[in-house]
Amino acid sequence: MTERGYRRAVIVILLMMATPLALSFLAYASGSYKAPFLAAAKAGTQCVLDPIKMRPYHMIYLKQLRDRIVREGDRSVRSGLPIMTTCGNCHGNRSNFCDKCHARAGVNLDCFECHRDGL
Amino acid sequence: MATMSNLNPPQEPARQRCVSKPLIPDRDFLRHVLGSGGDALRQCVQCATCSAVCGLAAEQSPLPRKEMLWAQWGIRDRLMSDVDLWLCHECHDCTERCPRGARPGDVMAALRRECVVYYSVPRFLGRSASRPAHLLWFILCSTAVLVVGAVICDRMQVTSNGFANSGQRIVIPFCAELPHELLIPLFVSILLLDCLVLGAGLARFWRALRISQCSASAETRVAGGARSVCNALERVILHRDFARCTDQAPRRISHTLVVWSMLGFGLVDLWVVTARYNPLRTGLVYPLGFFDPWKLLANLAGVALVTGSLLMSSDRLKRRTKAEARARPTGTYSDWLLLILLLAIALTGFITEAMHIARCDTGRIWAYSMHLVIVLSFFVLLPYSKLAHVGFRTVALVFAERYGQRQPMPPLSSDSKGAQHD
Repeated sequence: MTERGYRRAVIVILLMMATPLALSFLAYASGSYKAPFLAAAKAGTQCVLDPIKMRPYHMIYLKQLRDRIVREGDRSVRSGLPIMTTCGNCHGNRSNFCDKCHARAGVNLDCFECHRDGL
Repeated sequence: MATMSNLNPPQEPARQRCVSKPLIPDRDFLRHVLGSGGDALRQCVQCATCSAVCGLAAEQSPLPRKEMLWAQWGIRDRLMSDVDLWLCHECHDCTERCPRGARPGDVMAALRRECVVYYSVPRFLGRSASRPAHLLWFILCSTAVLVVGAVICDRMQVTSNGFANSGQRIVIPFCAELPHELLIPLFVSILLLDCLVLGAGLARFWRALRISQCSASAETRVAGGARSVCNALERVILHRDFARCTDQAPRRISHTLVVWSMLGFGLVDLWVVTARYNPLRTGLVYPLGFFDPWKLLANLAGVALVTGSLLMSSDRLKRRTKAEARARPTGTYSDWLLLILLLAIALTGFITEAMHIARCDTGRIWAYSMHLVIVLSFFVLLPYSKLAHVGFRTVALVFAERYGQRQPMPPLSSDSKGAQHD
């Protein structure tokens, strides 16, 4: 590689590294980072867990519930606690509630490939 | 002893002020050098072929011939304060052409390893990091620290408290058992400690350089502080010294890939670590989506790291096959440790990402835990590993720029080199 070619390569690498920062500034300037993407739940309802905990733990919570109800056969839980199908009672809009956040986080939402879309 | 003093550059006026120190051979030092890749050292008969082919050797400074002689005698003090040791970029032009098979390039690498150990704080950790048997302890300790940290965080419910404080920013841990509230303080504090430890070693190295090069005083300075630092950094960034290698020319590309990938990772990490405080960001700040520009940069850096490390490994392995006839080892434990750690970090990172995309939670948590253990071991080993060359070589380059590097001899044309080799 010639000296000039090497210099150009370094400049390209520097530009590649500066791009995310520049894009972040642009996104901030255009206000797209501030856009709310979580739709509010139905007014006057209370989530089964603290919403702050629900955000990272909803899948763990659902899996624990599944293990208790389906695998251990503890049907008593079902009468007391709401389950996945009842989420939709408060969070009516799947595209605004689940999908936007999942798309942003790059986490493939595969629940409804098998389960009925309860939302 | 008389031979040795003849090998010193001619006495300049400023140099005459120096009181010549007695040369004390150090057998332990010699043993370590022989044990860490410099085992062919005793083959050297001072024929000076190495200095004749070395692109860095100056007229009055026979690199690496003088280092070979000092190493044979085990004169540690002189070698540990030798700036030329770190100006060598291990291009192995000398090793290729050594008629005795003394492998000066490998001896220089072993001496640099000794230099890192000599200036490491505390020294026993430096020595320990160059022993393969002790690697397990570093990994076990890192695992233990992460496990204990995870248990403490779980007991204190740190994760949920962290969420409560995040306000408008939603930061979801990649693995609920190893929350950011544990990882960020732990890794940042270890990194700061690394900088402190390496900085202390480098300060001692700089002092030793100034004392040994008696001409290094205010009058002999050829460049100011800022200018010498800029010049040295330019040499580092543009990999100028790699361009002088003839046999190992592709090393410039593999080294560039690895250096820039690590800088890219550093930038992305800085962005993620400061996600909670960065005024530019609100809403969902972590995890990053696949098409987030930062995620793309991190993936690109990962690909560059894997490519660079594989190129370096294949370069070393190729040297082994070429060398088998001459029974030459290919790099030492510390070389391979760094390469394997870098590869392991990149590969476990990619496996974690693949598991994340595939929604395989169990696999993701295992891969991520392994990734974190390796990264933590890497961070703990950092100032004692081969990566310390980032600091030592930069300091040596700044010193060379500041106090005037002896002018290297004009490079020989490839024809004349070939003729010499034959």
